[in-house]
Amino acid sequence: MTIDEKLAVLTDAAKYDASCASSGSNRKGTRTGSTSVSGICHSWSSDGRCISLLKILLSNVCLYDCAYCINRRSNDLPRTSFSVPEVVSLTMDFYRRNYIEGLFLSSAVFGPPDRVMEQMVTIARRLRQEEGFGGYIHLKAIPGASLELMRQAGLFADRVSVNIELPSEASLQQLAPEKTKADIITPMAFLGNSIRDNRAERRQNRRAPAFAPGGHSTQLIVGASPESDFQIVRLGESLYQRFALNRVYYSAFIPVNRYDSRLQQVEMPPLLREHRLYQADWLLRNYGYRADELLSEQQPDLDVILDPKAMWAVRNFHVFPMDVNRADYASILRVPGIGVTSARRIVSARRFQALTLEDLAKLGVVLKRARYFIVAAGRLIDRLPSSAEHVRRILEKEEKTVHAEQLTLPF
Amino acid sequence: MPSNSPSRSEPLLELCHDGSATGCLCAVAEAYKHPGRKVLFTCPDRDLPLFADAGFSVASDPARAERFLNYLTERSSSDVVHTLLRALTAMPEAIEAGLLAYARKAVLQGACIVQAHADPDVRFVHRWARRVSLEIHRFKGLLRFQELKSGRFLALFEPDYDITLPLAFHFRLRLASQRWIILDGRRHCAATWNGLRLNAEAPGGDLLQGDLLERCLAGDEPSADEARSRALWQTFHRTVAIETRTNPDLQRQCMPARYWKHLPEMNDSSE
Repeated sequence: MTIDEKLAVLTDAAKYDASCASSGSNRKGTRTGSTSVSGICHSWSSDGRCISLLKILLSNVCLYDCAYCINRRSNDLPRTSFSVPEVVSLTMDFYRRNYIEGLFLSSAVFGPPDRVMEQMVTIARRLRQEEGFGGYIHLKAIPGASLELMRQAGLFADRVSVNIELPSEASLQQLAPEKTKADIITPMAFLGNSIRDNRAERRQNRRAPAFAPGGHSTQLIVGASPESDFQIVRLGESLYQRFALNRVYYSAFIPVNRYDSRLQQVEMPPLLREHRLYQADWLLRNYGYRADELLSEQQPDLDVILDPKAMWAVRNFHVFPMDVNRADYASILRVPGIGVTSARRIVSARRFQALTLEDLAKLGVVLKRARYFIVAAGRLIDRLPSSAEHVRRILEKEEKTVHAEQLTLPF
Repeated sequence: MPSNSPSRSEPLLELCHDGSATGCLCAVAEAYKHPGRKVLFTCPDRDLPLFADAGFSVASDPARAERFLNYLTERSSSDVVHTLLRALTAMPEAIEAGLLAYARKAVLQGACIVQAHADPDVRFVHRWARRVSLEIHRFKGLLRFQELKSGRFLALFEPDYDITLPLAFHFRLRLASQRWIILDGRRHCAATWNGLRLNAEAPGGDLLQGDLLERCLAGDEPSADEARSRALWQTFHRTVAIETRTNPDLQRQCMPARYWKHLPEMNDSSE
């Protein structure tokens, strides 16, 4: 195979991995490259996803037979592998032209996990030591690889991550029988602890070598197995708390192996569900919500029409209206239509003047949503909706962006 | 009463500058010395209002502009001045009056002026500063270099604002080991890096007609590897998209079509 053909095959095999973040690290290479804490997107593909990193597999030759995976051994696909110099050269060629922010390297399991992981670490080491490369490197850890290789990976990479794959151990056993919970949780815990310890050490000594300064993340597939949104959001919350993860990525299940009856049968990827889960996840990470505030055993799934924040506000309509000129930052954040930036601006700007509805619009507040939940200067309280049901009807009417076809998806 | 409101006793102050960022700053500095007077700013690129004459011409003096910025830094903060300079880069209509009002409020209220998000003068400057910063951030990702036979790399782009220098500072650290040229095809200016020193090429000539481009390239052509790397990138870009998630509207929203001209991945003939 030519390098062009290999690239096509191994990009096609890697494209289902959701993560492409290049943020969180501030590195400067000895010869070429640096990273930016905020991350930089270099292009967008025709599916609207950002391209920041050269996202490829080292190999798509796989010994495993995971039900949901395009690369499973029972699929009849062209199989190939990159050599170490090929990946190094491709990364540097792309980086010098500013096509990419760095490398995202994953791999199918073509041999013992340690052998696969060792080659991936070799690529990262060569880039850093031989090419003086300071761009972003994200290595996807191979379940079952030794912790010593994880440690080496963390020393060369900006981010190392392990995919949790599915939302429960039962689903993992059923759909990916060759992987065990321990194979995933052990390296994830090791990475979480090592990153935490390294950050503490670097606060004392800035010259201490960085260990995965961009943190670690994971990914799980949504819709291939029967778990509810409540189970998934609670799992995400627990992963953030226990393993200090930077991100949990949710990947709408794409039915690439329709012949496998162990999988949930879906016509199209549940993109709206994925979107709602990202919104809920965002609320956990940046807005101070807890999973059990958003969902419960009685209400286990996120609303199709309303986003999770609006859903929470309707269910807790008794805490509104919020006076934007007096309420604290955390309370303002709970108003639909007010995001982190707008809330910060409100708290700053109200020190200079009492804010009116018109001022709020200019600060970036989405008034068509927020107006039902706030009191501002000059705003009469009796113009607010009278009940939760009333506000729900208004919001649902205004929610015009939901695609009708998504509403029919069976989840 | 706004600080630049008209006074009955003093006539309108008409200040004319050369249209450059330095000239604009000098005109604002001059106007700043006349609190309470209504000011009309003009420059050669702009049509004069009816009955207005050319007014007092303010020289474009980098030292004076720097003194004014230092004064603002001392009275407010470097953040305030940084924001002001970003907005100045955009050169929108009525930028001088906007900067003047912002400068007066910054001196009056100090560094905290950046938090007065509801103030219309502050919002004006912040809005333009944000637009410029966004474009700088976008082009940190969207600028594309091509390798030339001489080993140098060339990046040609056509940004909305004059952001060649901030980008050059970014790539001076990022691509420190290679020699490169960044050319703004719209403003006909460039920045070059020879591995040790960053140079700014002044505007002049018509770049797209070849003047500055030829001067910078001096007969240089794309290297033998260039077409191969470009094709590999196009293959990657084509393949990494998931067909069942196709969403060209989102792609266009994140990466506006006006930037596509110089992106190899958006000019893929095999598609």
